[in-house]
Amino acid sequence: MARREKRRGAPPLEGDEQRLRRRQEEAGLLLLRIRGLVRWVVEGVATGRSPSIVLHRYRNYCSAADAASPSHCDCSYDAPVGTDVLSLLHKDCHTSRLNVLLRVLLVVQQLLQQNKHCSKRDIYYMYPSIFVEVAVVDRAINDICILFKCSRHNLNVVPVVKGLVMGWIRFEEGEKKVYCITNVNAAFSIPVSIEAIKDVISVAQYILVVEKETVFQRLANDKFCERNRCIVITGRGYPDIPTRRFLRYLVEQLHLPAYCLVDSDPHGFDILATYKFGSLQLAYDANLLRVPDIRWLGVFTSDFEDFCLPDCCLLHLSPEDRRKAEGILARCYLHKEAPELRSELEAMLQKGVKFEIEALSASSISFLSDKYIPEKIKQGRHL
Amino acid sequence: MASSTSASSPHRKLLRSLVYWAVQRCRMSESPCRLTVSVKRPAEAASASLLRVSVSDTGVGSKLEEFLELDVLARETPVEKWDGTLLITTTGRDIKCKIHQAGYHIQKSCNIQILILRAPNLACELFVEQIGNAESRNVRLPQDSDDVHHSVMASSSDRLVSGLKDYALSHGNTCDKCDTCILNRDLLKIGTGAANNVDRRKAKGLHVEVVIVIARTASDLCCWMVNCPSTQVLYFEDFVPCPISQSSFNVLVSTDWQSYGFKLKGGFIDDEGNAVLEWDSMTFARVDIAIHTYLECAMQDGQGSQQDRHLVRKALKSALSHLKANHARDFLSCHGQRVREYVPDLAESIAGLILSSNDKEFQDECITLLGLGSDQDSEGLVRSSICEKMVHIIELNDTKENVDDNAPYLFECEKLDEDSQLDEEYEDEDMVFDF
Repeated sequence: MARREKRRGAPPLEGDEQRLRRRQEEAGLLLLRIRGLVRWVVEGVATGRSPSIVLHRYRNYCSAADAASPSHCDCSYDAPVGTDVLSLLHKDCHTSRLNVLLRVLLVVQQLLQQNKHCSKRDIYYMYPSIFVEVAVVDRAINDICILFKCSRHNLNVVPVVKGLVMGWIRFEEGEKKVYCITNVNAAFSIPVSIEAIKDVISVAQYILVVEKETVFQRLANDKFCERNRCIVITGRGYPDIPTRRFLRYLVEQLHLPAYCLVDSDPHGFDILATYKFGSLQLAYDANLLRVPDIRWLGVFTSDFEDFCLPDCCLLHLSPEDRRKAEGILARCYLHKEAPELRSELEAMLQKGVKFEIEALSASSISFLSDKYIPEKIKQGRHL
Repeated sequence: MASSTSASSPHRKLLRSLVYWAVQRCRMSESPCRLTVSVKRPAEAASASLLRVSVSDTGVGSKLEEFLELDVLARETPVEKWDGTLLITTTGRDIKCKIHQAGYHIQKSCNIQILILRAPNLACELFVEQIGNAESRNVRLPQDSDDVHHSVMASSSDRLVSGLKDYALSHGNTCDKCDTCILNRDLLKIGTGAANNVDRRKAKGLHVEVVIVIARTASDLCCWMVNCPSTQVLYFEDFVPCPISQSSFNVLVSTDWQSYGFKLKGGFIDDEGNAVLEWDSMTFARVDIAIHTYLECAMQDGQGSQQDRHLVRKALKSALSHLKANHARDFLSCHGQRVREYVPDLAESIAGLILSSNDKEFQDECITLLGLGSDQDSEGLVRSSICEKMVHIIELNDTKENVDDNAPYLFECEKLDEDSQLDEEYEDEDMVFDF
């Protein structure tokens, strides 16, 4: 039920007391499930049966073998594609995974009981010899989310947010007022706790997501938002979970179109894909984190000629770039859902060149803000 | 013949053949039988370097094949002074077979070690005699009386086991005088396996017996030598040692040792035809393995055992499973060992989840499930209870494929080099056969 409710999107805004009570109920429910799992494990051990935990395996994309005619695959944004059984009796790596999962669960139980929060790095340093590296903790947190059908924020494990937002919006995050609208050119940090957001007011016409902070600052410096009624967000490269959640929240609450501006290279395309289709690591939550309707505003390979950029702005694709591009081209969601995006990436690969958003400054320092973005949006030149 | 100071192959072959046929005759005998290996060294100056070795038995049933083989081996044996008479003595009657050869003259000393499996109805003795006026003495190394009685009068399932135990202890113990090492016999871990293939139409039954003896780490035993990283496999056919067959060797190196916690690094057949297995990261002081292949009836046609690698594999696996069944904790598979390493951490996490819960009712329920009393809720007790139960689960799962094994035969080892005077006067293992 909890998962089904989440999939419908964020619930209507509610009062502080109701919000607090709901959070307490969610924590209580999780603690109940944790005790149920531990009881199951103890019963097994006591009766001579190996503790076994069945985990669903999620996958939101795979590499389609045949580009011409993609075969049907099991990938899904909300349904599991298989199961792993963690126990003492089979694979060593599953025993290791079980070991790590239970240790992280011990920490999570304490966090929920004491209503405290911590980062995954905090957890890592509590038992570094068991975890070996932070990525191992990350994997265990994913396993716990899958096991209990919840998301990371429900476990009181919070990330460090690096995303920024500015523009025609104002909201409150708990007791904190985030009034971007009073200075639409000022950068604010993306809120950590989406559940704490309330009183959202916006008069923006669209949301613009940009890959890099340098571009974000360029727009701020040009006072882009004063002349364009919009909200600008940057994830500073690959977006973290709160940035993705915040973007999805805005799209759902404000019903605004979202555009994405990334470099014309495989790396930029992959960032766009993360916003639009979700990441493999968080495949179990893909349907809650992705923004399927986000539009790719640019930069396209064809923009180079369309906007008469000088040759010195072009860079050749490196061997790594080519490998990355070929890997992305094989992803099943491009075949199934976005062939036009795939064609654009293929064109990049065929021409063998790439260039950055900043290259648009070759015409003039404010070309991006004054001409490129407004014209692209106005003319509907996006994919 | 397991080892000697030098490789004098023709002499060893001849002596082995003498012993082989004597053993087969004893096996055919339905009454108790005695096998004697006699070594005589004259003290006279004129023949100071002459050594006489004779093999005699009280068995029955000499065969033509025996003499034909001896004739061939005798021709291969380098001789200088020999009157051509080879004497083989059986109960109450001498059989003389003249072979026209020159006389034989020994130049150097003899240091031979003979490992003989004791067959039913067979008692063995080694007799060393120095003949002459000065310092004349006889050395007889008879078996222990109880052992003689036991082995002669009845078939025992522990014969091969007992023999290999003695072998392991004698090779592992570097202290001659420490009596407590005798007690270490009980610290050895034994695995026995057997397989047979009885073909009724041909009335030919092939038997394979395997014994594995494991000694614990050197630090446990006061006089033990350092850990031995390789195993020389003792291979017998029809109760007599012989070079291992290629097919049996292939079985040894292709066995899934990891399922029993062993890590085989490699293996080879040495110059004397012995299989040697090399181990990686050994957790034991030493591993000794004996394989015995024999026909049910001695002196049958098709003499010499038929090589059947399937039976060797089956018996070896049976022996390993026997080890694991009796000592599951020590012979967990490599996988089981890796999983077991997680148990302390897992137990700590589970105990922590139970005891850090703010639900008292849940805590009591879990403690009851673990079989602990309500006053036994310390984290240490809960953790060790979970640890113990988890280890048991791992061991139980690891030993799901136990195979029953049959009775093996015992094994014996005797040394000749204990006589220091013999060593002083002779340097190699040349020998002369007396008539």
